[in-house]
Amino acid sequence: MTTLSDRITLLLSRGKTKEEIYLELLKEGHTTNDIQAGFAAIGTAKDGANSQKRTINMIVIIGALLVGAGIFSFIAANWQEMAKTAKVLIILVAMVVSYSMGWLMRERWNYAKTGGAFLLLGSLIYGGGIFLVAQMFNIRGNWPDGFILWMLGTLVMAFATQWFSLFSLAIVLGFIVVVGHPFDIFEGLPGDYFLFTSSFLLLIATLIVFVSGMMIRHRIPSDIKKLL
Amino acid sequence: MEYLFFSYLLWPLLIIGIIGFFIVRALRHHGGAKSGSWYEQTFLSKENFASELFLLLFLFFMAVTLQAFNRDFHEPFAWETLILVSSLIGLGLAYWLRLTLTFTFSIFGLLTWWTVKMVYWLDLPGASIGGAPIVVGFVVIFLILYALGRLHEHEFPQQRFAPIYEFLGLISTIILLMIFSSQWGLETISSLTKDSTILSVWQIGVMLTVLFVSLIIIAAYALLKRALSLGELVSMAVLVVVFGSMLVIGQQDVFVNGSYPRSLTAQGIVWAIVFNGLAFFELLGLMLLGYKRKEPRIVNIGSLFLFILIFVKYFDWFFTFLDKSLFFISAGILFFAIGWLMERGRKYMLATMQKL
Repeated sequence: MTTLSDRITLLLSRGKTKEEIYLELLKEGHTTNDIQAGFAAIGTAKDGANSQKRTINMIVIIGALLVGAGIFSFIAANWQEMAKTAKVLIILVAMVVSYSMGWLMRERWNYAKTGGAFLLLGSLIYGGGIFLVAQMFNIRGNWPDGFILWMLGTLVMAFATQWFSLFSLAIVLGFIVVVGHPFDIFEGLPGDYFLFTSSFLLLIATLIVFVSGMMIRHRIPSDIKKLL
Repeated sequence: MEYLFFSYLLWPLLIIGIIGFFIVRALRHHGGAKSGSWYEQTFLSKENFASELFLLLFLFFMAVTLQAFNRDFHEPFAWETLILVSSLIGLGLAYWLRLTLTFTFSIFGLLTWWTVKMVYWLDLPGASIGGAPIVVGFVVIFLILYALGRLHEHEFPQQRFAPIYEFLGLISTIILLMIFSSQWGLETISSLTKDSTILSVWQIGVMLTVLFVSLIIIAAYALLKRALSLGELVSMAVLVVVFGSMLVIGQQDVFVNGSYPRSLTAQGIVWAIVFNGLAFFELLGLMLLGYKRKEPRIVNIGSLFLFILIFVKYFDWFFTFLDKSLFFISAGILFFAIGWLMERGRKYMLATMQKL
């Protein structure tokens, strides 16, 4: 037998407003107090579920960060002894495995939070990989450019998977770039740059960040969009 | 040079203030105590928040990219000009898409450009005027922001900008008044004022004229639209006259030379009374305005800063004068009394406002 709160949840999922639900249930003979209690029960259940979801989210994200830190510390400790091919392979394999696990867990096995944490781990390995490869092959460039590449890669993955934590990571990386680059601009020696690549990379990042902002904006629910 | 200090001091204060503003609003929103009006909520959804952050990043990236290309081409433009260009684009984008974060930082960008330009003009060879034009300019700009905030309150959908304009204008003016009512602030008046006229640097004269005219037009329009009350207009006029007088009053000697403890001259006493009185009455007026307009936000700002003012004044006036143990005991008792009185007053005001 369905309870009143179940019925309210069903009506809400069909897009009915609170007022419409009240009218419908009053017509069916329910009292105002019962309906209010039904709404309150949904709220309490939602709060409980949300806090549980948040806790799981926090735990798996911390897990991803710890595993990422462990991988980097292992690579750093054994870096000198490894061949270049082995180094690149480790980075690539770790990244591909993390992303694949993330995708499988989210899309196939319905573990959204844990899968998301694997995707986050993949993005961390990707970012670390950029700097490790740059160091390995002595690539000449400004350090904030590495963060731009990291941000762009993370954004691609964020749009592909729709995992919001990846958007957050991209935002943090973006802020590191805009804080770091001015130091290079105002303190760098004249001519200490490589064929304007830094500036063009910045230009590309500017355009991509704008397009990303606009794309996310298009997803704002229509009732909220009316207010903006 | 004190004016340089002012230009550097204001940014951290403003940035801390605005970050505090967004955090408090976000916490209030998160805690479920949603504001009465939709436009007073910081972000309306997760997507709104993320897109705001990305478009703010776009503003920063654009500014950095312009600076990077400027460096690559051996700096054909001054860096502050590029900040101005980025800020204007940011402001346009903010109005187009109603972006609160981009809007706030674009205003900061414009203020940065203005300050850098003023400092540059004050340092021109032959310009022997004090830093008063910067302080006066700041006051006029803050009042313009406040008036714009009042005007935006009734204009859908730009209402989202109203609290930001008002907050920037109000808090900055209060901070300036508090600085000038302190001993350190009074000391700076001597170096801010000089006998030579500000017209010796025409750029500063033009800039200040533009600001004054803009303030008059905006305030008059706001009054016509009933967005500003007569009381607010009078308070704004008093602030402009008091600060503006620094431009024409000539060199001021606020403290007696070589005196210890520092004693005020006759001019100094007048300035001390004026600024302390202004700070106190502005805060009191603010609380009354909030009460009259039924805006708890304004009452809260007024009561918070009144508390800070009393705290600062107590230290400013009695720290060297009283025995330390007596000083701290008196401070404790004073704070209990003020806290109790303010809580009572605030509760009364908010309760009456709800009844009305």
